Amino acid sequence: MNEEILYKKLTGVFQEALEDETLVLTSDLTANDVPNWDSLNHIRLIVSIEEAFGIKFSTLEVTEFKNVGDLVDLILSKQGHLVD
Amino acid sequence: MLVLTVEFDTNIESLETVAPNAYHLFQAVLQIWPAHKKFIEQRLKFSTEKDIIFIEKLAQILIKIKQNELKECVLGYQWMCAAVLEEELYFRRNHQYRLTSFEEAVRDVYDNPTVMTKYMDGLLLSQVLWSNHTSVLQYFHESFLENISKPFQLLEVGPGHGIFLYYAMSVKNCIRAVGWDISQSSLDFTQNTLSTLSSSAKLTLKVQNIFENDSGEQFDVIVLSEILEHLENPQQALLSIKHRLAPGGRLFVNVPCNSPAPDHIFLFRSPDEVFDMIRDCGYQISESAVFPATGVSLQKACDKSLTISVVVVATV
Repeated sequence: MNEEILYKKLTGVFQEALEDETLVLTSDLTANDVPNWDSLNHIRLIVSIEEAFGIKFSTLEVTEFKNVGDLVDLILSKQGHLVD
Repeated sequence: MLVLTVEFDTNIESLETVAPNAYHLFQAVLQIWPAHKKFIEQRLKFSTEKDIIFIEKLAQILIKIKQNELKECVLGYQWMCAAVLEEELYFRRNHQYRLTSFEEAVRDVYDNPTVMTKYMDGLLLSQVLWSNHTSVLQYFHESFLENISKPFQLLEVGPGHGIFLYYAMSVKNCIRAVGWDISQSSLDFTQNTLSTLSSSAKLTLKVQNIFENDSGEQFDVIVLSEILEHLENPQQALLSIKHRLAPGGRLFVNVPCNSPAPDHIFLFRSPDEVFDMIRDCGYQISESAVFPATGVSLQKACDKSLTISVVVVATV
């Protein structure tokens, strides 16, 4: 999956999980920029991403990425292989 | 007193003059955990003036309890929130709680004094910081206890941080408050809280397992607050305390649905599951209330299986 398609799919996941149909993803977007993106919604978002992309994050990875760009890099690196 | 029932402009800064203790408490949290600001703002967003008055009194109580240990208490709260997030991750992935037996909870939590201290501190602070916890306490004090017109004796099973017993003892009609727990160290924590706050002339704390025989003493009010979800078989607990309710006595239950935590075992998936279990155990429900998690509407909490604190008042 190339980055453009990934962003499109990821935008849908974000919009649904954070209940904001107007949300536009950019690589430097962080949780601080999105009112609904709090710690509990972050967990729900993570699980929605795992289900949508067929991947699994480690507990550390769940909390360590700093912005959407980091998340996209993480998803791209994981596609095709699952993490324990 | 005029009480506003509509949303008004409440943010952390605005509390400095109208609710100085709450302001001080929130600032103590933010000093250690600045990233929690968004959550606290969400927590205050839909507060009414009446809520703020309650929060201010509660904050004053918590500061008095933890006057020299506020920093440790905040660290305990931060630890608890991180632990809950890990459980939330498991819950969202697997649609069930991680723990399945009481034995696991004893091993991971109850038999670990370091964990227990942080957990109790965290729960104490959550009474102000998590709107569903504050709402339950407010309901317990203002809608339940204050409306008991006769003198009463109250038993709380598993009093933990002790704040429910404190509110019970503060009510004029409460002539005696009793706390039972299976753990002496947990009762020591309760005792510490209550001795900081008030005279404990009305108070009796006792190591007692509700499943074991005792003197057969009866109480006008029995409180099970955040107990049933810690048990493998909550029905057994509800049945075993029935004979301890005095004639006309009332059971006050507070139990969360969809609320993963390091020691939660029994999963209630909806308020109806709580109501059904209590009725199936032979009680009649006289009052109930539901309080969704901070920043979440009840509709959304139901639709997305998010945490809802469920309060039930029942009689036999």
